[in-house]
Formats: sequence, structure tokens, C-alpha cells
Amino acid sequence: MRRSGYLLLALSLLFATGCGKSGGSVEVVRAPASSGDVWEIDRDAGRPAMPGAVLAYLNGLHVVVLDGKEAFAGMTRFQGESRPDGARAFKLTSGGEVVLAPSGQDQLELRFSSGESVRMRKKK
Amino acid sequence: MTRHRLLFLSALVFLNATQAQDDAADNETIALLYHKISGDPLDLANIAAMSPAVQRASNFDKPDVTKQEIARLQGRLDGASPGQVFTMKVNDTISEYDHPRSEFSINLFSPGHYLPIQAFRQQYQVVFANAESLRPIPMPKEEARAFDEQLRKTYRAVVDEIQFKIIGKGDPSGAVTGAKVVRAEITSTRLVDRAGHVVSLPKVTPVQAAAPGVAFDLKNADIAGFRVGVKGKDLEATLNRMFGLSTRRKVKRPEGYSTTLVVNEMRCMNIPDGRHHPAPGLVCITAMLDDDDIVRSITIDRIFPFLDGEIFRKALTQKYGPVASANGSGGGFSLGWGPEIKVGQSGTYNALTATFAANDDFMSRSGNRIPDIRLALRLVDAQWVSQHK
Repeated sequence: MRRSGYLLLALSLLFATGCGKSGGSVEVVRAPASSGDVWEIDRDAGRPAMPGAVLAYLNGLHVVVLDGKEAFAGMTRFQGESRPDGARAFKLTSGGEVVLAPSGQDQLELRFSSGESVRMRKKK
Repeated sequence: MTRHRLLFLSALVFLNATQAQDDAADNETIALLYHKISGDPLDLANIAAMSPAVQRASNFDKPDVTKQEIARLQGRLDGASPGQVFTMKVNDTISEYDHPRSEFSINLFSPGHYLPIQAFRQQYQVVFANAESLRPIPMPKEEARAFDEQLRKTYRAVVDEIQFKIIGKGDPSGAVTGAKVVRAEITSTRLVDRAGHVVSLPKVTPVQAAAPGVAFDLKNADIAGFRVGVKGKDLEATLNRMFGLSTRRKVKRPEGYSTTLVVNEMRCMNIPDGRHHPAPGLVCITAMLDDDDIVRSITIDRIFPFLDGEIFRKALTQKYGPVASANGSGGGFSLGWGPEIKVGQSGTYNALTATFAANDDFMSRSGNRIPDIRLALRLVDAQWVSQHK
């Protein structure tokens, strides 16, 4: 009886530690205090980029901390997957995928699997 | 009980206003079903007072006739069957060919279109929850040329023969806003020309299948990556890293909030003094915390250069699923998801609210300047608020 009680407690703790996860490779956490870089969607992006900019905003990717394979969008942590071309792919909480691909000096391109895209710049 | 009627769909107004040759009985049944299913109250006493029977009655008989009329209406309301199928004929048009998408569109089933119904001296807007699955007429370009030629001869006019049932309240796509938006489901349809020849037979997809797996989940919902129920100090550290130094202040609010955490407080609002015009890219965040330093409400605004509201609406429904409430005024709109939270005597707002608003004023408008757009998202811990009122 006592052993099963410990087992229950251990399982509860295990469950509790995973509670921040909302599915897949997404986790609710605070952004790192100093590691990584802060990137933002290009403020000068024109009208053709607006569908991508709005999708980025809704998913928290309009301002994002990129730290190694991880991306912090608001308080949501995405675990990325590296691609051979240097891009990183992330699964969105709402379904679909987004790819961050290098696009010139201090620039990235954020591409959604639904076709929208927007340029990102390192935040100063 | 189904009756055929002819409605005239006009493309003059942005929502394709239609002029209905009313079949008053069917219109009233549609309205009664809407009130019965949605729970939107219907003022039977007021409707009875305006009815021809009461209007014709002498002052002496009016109280008794009013009572009888209220009882008759209540009987119809109680007896209205949600399974009832209505049949209508709607004069409509088919769009020009969309080359990139290789399809034509049926206007009645395009976002923002509805059937106006007059009943009990009130206007109701009937929208179809499975409209998007019926909207396109996909066609390869080679076939489309001949089809387009045929359409041009009739000024693109068709008659939609539709059968539908009433299933609830509000436009799930959020494109039709206002009071008394009746949610209906098309059960069968075909498009014919004026001579009665079949032009198109859209395949009907039931509502459940038309929007699979997109039920709104408040517990896991986020706005721009932020959630409620998280620790205030974690949010504070995140804001400081991403958006600049946040400010923490003690407050006392009737909802039970005791602390506010803000970045760029009030700076996203356009103040018509000629000096405070927020630039695209500006982000403003306000979070409300409880006594235990838990985030119970968070609002984020971002200023964008001008963009079409349809982009925002589509992205929102893609992420959050069918809209629970929709309101619009001027060029702006506000959409809601999740449980309703009461405010004041009669006001309500949804746990998640998204607002599209032109960020301009009389001074910035005077120069014919295209306005910037403020996209605001607010998420409230509805359960916590309801427990702390």
C-alpha cells in the first residue's frame, strides 16, 4: 500500500513536470535572459509580406529569441529541427510548420508551410 | 413545410444585400429557431404588441388579444423543430475566373455574404457554416474558358437552389458581424440558369467535416506565444528580453487583479495631438496578475502598416477555429473565442478577443494618408475571473 503510494507520487511528479508541454515539441517557459539573439519581422516589409507578418504575430514569431536549435516565441519554446541548407524547421501549436532560413547578412526568412513568408532582422 | 421562394441577391453592397420576397411564415420560423437554439432572448410581449391582431383590436380588447398573441408565439417557439429544412431560391452571380487558384467562386458562399431575413420587424442575417466548402467551382483553364463564355452571356447570373437548417448563432468565419446573425448549414444545393438548366452541382460537406478538429481550447490557447496561468516573474523576464524593460505596478481592480506588468503602456494608441503617432512595428503589452503573481489576463498590440482585415480574420480562424462572436464598426472588427465573461450590467466579452482597428484620427485622416493598423489580442483566464467576481 505504501509502495503504491510512492509510485503514485512519482508518477504525479513525472506528469507535473511535463504539464508545461502543450503537445509535440512545444513548451511553456520563460525566454533565456541573455543567450541567443532576438530577431524581429522586418518593420519595413511591404504589403505582399503582410499575410506572413500577421501569421508570425499570431504565433508569437514576430519577435523571437533564437538560441541554438530552440526558438522562444513569447513564452512558448519550439524545439527546432536542423536542415542541411542551414534552415531550422519548427512545428506550430496550431498545426503546420514554419522554416527559418538564412537570407543574407543578419537576415532570415520565415516561411510558413501554408505559403506565406516574411523577412526577419536581428533586433538591435 | 418547405416552400420555394425567390430572393434577389444584389452585388451592390459589400455583403451582397438581398431583397427578399418574404414568405413571412418561413422567415418567422427561421427567426424563432435562431432564438430557440442560440438562447438569444426574444421579446414576445413587444412582438405581440406590434402584431396585426393586436393593432386591429379595440383598446378594450387589447389586453386579452395581446395575451393570446403572446401564447400563440410562445407555442410556435416551443414547437419550432431544429431539424426543419428550409428551401429557397436565391438570385446570385458567379465570380470571374481566379487563374492562380483555377476556380470560379459562388458569391453567396464567399466570406462576408449572407441572406437577409425580415421577421418580427427585425433584420436577421443568415450565414452558412459550411459555405467555404461550397464556394469554389474548380475547373482547369481549358474548360474554364467555355464556362466563362456561357456565364458572360447571362451576365454571370445564376439561381442558387438551396436547402438548409438552422444550427446556431454567429458567423463561424467572423466575416458577418452584428446582432442576430443566424448560423445555418446547407444540406443540399444546385445552381441553375434562368431557364432552369443546371450550371453547377456543388458537393455539400456537413459542418463537422467542413471544419475538422478546430474546436477552441482555452486551456492551451496562446496569443502571440503568451498564455495565462503562468508565473508573473517568468513573463516579466521574457518581456524584458524581447520587448524592452517592463514596468510592474500595484493595482486594485474589481476583477481581483492586484498587479499590472506593462511594456510601452498606452503607446500603441493614436493620440490626435500630432505628436503621438505610433509607428509600424511598435508592440505594447499589458498583463494583469493576481495576489500569487500568476498572469490572469494579457493583452498585446502591434502596429502594422495598412493591411486587409481579411488577412487577419483568415489567420485567426485558421489558428483558433470557428468564431464565437463577431462585432464590427467602420473599417474595424472584433472577434471572440471561448467562454463569455460578464462585465457591468449587460456587457460581455470572450476569453480571447482579437481586434482589427485603423490606427488613425481626424488629423491623420485629413492628409488622405493610408492608416496604419493596430492588431490587438487579449486572453483572459475566464474561469479565474468568474471565481473572483
